[in-house]
Amino acid sequence: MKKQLFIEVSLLLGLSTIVGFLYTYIAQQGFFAPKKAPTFTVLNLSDAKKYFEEKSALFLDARSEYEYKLGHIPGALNVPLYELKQSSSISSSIPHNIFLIVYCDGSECHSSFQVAEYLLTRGYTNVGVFYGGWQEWTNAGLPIE
Amino acid sequence: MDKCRITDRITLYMTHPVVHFIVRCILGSIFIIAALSKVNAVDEFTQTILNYRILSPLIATVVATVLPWIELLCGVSLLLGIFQRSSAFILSTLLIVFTILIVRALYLGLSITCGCFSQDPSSNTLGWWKVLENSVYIALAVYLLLCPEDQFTIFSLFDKRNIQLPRANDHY
Repeated sequence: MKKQLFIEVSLLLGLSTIVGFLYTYIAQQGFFAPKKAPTFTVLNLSDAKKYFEEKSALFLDARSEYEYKLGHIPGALNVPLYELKQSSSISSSIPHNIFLIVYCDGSECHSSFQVAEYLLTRGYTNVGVFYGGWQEWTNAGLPIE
Repeated sequence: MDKCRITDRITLYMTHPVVHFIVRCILGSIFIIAALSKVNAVDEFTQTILNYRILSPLIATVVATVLPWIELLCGVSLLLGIFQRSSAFILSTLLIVFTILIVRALYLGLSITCGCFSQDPSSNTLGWWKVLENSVYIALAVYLLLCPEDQFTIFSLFDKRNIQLPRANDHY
């Protein structure tokens, strides 16, 4: 009796395992789901402020060196797209193990998106874009250096 | 004496094949419904398992891949009347594990969804009512495990012999 129960339980569990993995393989789910291309997240001012206060992200300034020197978010690195593509020293100075927030002037500029996309192609997976950028940051009276 | 008679009568009705058949169909249907909400939502179910904060992502994915099919096969087996006792054994074990996990989550104050019948993260969060609900299911599964199997199986439909239903006064 116990032996029969053991055989039946093993049969049900074994069959469930085989069918489960076979189904997810056919349906491309779970282990067999196609890997999604990494994308960046778009952040608003309150998100950016939160990360800044928690010091849990590295800010990347996608504007020109001249604009950066006039003022930037404290701790931000200057990474203009052209120089990022040309110089390997800039990309090697950006760590992989921290959330990166790219910003530029504001909603009219697109360099922050271009830098974020470039970083994704270079293997960075944890990237965000602060859409409001420098204008929204300064308008809110947040710290600058 | 009267007390004994009442107890005997209750036992007779409880072990009646029709009662066994009804309980089997109810429990089987419940697990089929539960499984169907998970079979096509492996990623969502994996996240639900991870929310319990016990398993690693790798093991959670294995569980999310296999568990819905265990529930589905056991549910279908119960409905069809094949492997009745082994299905009841697996389901009662699963239900006991689920209930322990729910009690642990409630004890830790985790605000998570059960993931039992829906993988929608906005569905109702866990509560003690879920423990009560699972206790009823455990009682049904243990009943099926302990009582003799009934003969209303899928095979009996094709069996030319007539099935004699026992009367309430007959000993099972």
